[in-house]
Amino acid sequence: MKEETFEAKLAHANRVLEQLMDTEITLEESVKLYEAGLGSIKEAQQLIDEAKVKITTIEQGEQRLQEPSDG
Amino acid sequence: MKIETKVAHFSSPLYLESGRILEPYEIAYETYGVLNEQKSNVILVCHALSGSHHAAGQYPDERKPGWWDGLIGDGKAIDTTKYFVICTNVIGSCFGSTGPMSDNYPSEEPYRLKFPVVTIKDMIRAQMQLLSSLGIYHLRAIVGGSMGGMQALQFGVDYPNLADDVISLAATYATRPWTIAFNKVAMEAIRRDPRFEHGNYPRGAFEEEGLDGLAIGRIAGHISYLAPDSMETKFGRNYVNNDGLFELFGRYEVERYMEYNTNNFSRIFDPLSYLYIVKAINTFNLARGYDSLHEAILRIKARVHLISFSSDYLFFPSEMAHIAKMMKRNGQEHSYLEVQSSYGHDAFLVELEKFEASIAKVLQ
Repeated sequence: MKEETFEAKLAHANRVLEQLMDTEITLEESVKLYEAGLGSIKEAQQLIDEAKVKITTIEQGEQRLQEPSDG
Repeated sequence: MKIETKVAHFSSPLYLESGRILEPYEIAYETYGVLNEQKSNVILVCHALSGSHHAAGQYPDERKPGWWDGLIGDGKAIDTTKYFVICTNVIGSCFGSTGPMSDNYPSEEPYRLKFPVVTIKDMIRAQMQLLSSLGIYHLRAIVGGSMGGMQALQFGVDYPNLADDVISLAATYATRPWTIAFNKVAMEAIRRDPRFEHGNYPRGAFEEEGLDGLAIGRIAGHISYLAPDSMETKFGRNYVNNDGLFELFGRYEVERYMEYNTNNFSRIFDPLSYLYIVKAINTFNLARGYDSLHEAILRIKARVHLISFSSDYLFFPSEMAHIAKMMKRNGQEHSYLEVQSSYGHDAFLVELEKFEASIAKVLQ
């Protein structure tokens, strides 16, 4: 099953990194692992980007509420 | 930028336009920058209805800086490396100057409704007392927006030799019925709120749970400070997340804005002060005390700079243009700028980038 959370994706990438350090690994395996690890990192990055957009939207909303106003 | 906050005490009477006397009284004020030896670098800044003397800078315990922080500071349009800026809290307000909840000397009871009605003229007369107590008899400029802009103009008329330049934004020569009607909502909502108790509420009564009447009245204020287009841009038809569309009290974003701002406001601002200051705005008329508006304006010796905002629904550009027209006819030195804006009245607090260069130029 695919790991969904940001933390899980990062952990997966770390695991892959460790496996890649194994000197016994074949070239074919290492390419596969590299692909999988990079995929996790890309997905994690996407989650960060989405979170950033959300935070900016919330901040802008709060800012709108707090703009000065007077008569 | 050097900031100081002080309170000045006056034991001599302040003679009010109504014939009544305020004695003793206090004025809270803040200063920015350093006064030069000749005392020739002073700029007076005047605040609006719910503003205070805290116009710039930010204290460690504050969430927001002063209300014109974008305009006042080192290297800003009102440059505090060059000028000594003073902003006072108007009398009648609730941020440190004498107002309806101050002690009615010699008793320790607040004035409440016994506080005299004060006018824009009275507010500036009090500021004159402060200036002379500081040994300041000449100002490089007076700047203010909305009710602050009224004060700036009134200074120009009542004390013609005081300032070199008067800069008035988003104001008028006399408050029109349209604005008085908006203010009426606030006055009635406060008066009819049972918790207002005809002004006999205990001190600090609304700090926890604000006064509903003031919150409701302030909604009318906020409508008049914005404009149809600015509301469109700010909120559109957006609905509050997690509020249901078919929930009777589910809210559009614009409703949340009104609730958020007015509920907070009613915890901070004293309802009696609100009534007194709104009254001062309503009674504002540059011509009062003179034969006509023409006579009043003719007295002005300062260069006057009028800045209006095209979408201001509280004080319309035509009102400022009217003053400019009279000054032009009289051959008096002045400038008039109508800033193109869809933001409404509040543009004078928000869209600083649209007029700060004009102010900086005047103060060069």
